[in-house]
Amino acid sequence: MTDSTQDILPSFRRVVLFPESVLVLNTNANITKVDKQTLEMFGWENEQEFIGKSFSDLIVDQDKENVQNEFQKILLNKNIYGLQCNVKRKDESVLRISLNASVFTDSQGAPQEIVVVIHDITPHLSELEQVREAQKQLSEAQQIANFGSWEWDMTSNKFRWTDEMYRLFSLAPQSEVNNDSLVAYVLEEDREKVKNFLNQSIADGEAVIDYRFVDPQNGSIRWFHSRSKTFYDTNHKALRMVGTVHDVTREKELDQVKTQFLSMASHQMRGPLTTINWHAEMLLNSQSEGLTDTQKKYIQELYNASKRTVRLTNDILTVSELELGRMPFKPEKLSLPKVAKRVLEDYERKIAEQKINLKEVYSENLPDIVTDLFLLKTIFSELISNAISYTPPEGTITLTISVDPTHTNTFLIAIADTGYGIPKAEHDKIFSKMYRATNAKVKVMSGTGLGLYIIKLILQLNGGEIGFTSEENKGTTFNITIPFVPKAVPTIPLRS
Amino acid sequence: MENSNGKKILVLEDEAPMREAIVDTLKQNNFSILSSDNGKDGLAVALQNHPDLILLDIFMPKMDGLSMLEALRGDAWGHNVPVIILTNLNPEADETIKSILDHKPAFYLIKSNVTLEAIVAKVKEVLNM
Repeated sequence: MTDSTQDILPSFRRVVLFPESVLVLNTNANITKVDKQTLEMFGWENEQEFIGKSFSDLIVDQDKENVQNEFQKILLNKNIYGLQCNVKRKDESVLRISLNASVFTDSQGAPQEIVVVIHDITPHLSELEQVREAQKQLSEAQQIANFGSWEWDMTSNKFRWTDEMYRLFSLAPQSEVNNDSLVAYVLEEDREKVKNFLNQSIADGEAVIDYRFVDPQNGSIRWFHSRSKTFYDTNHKALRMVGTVHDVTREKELDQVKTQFLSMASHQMRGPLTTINWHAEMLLNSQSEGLTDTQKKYIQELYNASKRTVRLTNDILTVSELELGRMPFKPEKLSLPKVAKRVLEDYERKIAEQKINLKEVYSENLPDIVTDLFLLKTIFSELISNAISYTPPEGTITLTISVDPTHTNTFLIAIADTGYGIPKAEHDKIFSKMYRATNAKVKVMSGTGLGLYIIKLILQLNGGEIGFTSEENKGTTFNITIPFVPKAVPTIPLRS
Repeated sequence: MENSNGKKILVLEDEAPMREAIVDTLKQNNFSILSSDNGKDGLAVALQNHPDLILLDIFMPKMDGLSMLEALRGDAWGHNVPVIILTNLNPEADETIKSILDHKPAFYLIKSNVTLEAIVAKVKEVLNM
């Protein structure tokens, strides 16, 4: 032990961040000096027991070779940083340590001593391992579920992605990611949507989106479902956004298969239904001589049920084709009142039977609309049929077509009835597929719950919107806004 | 035929119950009827008998309605004979049907959505009766 080392020990302790203990070795790695903390750490009573031992005697057998190798290299490299190994205490218990070591030379540069700083990391080990284990489990779970998550520190503009995020986006693990990374390989048509998703999350605190991603490695298209949540400071400045990305390609494919199956099944059902309809019609007409009135009534019931099934089948077909994006959209110039009148003709008999008072209010000099005739007729047909079905006899239905005063180049179509109305608690559900209001189900057996959903899907194609006001037992008014000319027509499945 | 209105209709439909319903109904309306359950025989009957109008199903064995219609339109007589397509396919959603509609004069009815009465009315309308 030289005086110089003696002087250095206290200052060394100040330089190294919280060293647990310091010991000094000669160039053969034999211990020449220990401090009090070292004795405590290793469970020895006095330094004489320690001095003269080879440092490698302290190391457990499994780690001995590795530590010896490192100490052989120290004479060349001068330093060892953060070498971790297990060491034995006097009572044979084991510590996990992290050590740093430095070689001290004389004025000629010849190695004199090695100073070793030991940090007992045993208490931290289980925590570290737990964190590592949790990270591993999260990563594995995310991989199995095709589920990635990300975090955006908006103050420093730093992104943190989980391993699965990199896999989903076909990026090398831990490569640099930024604002554009989420959008970079999004299918062109969906890119704007993804940008809106981020903006919406900042504005509203959360957002949800389905979009398509083009794999840069093989060009295949995958569907991602993303959710995000934004966190703010007390001044409502956005600080942090977290989000998830879930590969839902398989779900989307299954959904398509299901819709295709429905479409096919509906087409197939039309055959036998036609046979039932036509024969019921024949029985009820001239061929029904000899049938009693009761028998005719029974046949009429069969016929009605069959026609109802045809309507349901047609609605399912329309929904399938809209959802599959197979519904052709052939825009042409049309007069809204003319189309409305044509559709109303189909319901003349029903309106008369129910003694419904029909009012038509069409603004003068309405411009033509540019849209698809079949789809426009479907909108009117679903609206009018709903209004008739849910309005009791002698009620009033008012169809109004005008230019929307609140939007430019937009029509406002309103259909008001004096019918059963929609219960307030169900207002947010009535545009869902197959949803029927509880009072409607009781009053009218035959509804399909698809009409309003169909209107909504068609309006998406047109860039229009539907809303309503309703009071139970007073009536409902549906308001549709639809642009003079449709926005860009999507050629893709709509359910996104 | 005693009560004939002088118009001859060819009915092509492979499903017997539907074919019979149409045939019976048209007969009651005093039309003369020819019929077949496939496109190939139907084409032969058409070219031989020159009906005034053809009611044509699409899905049929041996020759489907589209091929039959194409062959028909290639014939000097068949080029202009009116055809009413009776099918359960949606014209809005099916490319095949859209191409059939190019073969004018052709009209289009979805079976499950029309009554026999409406079919007779359409036949009479097309034949200016």
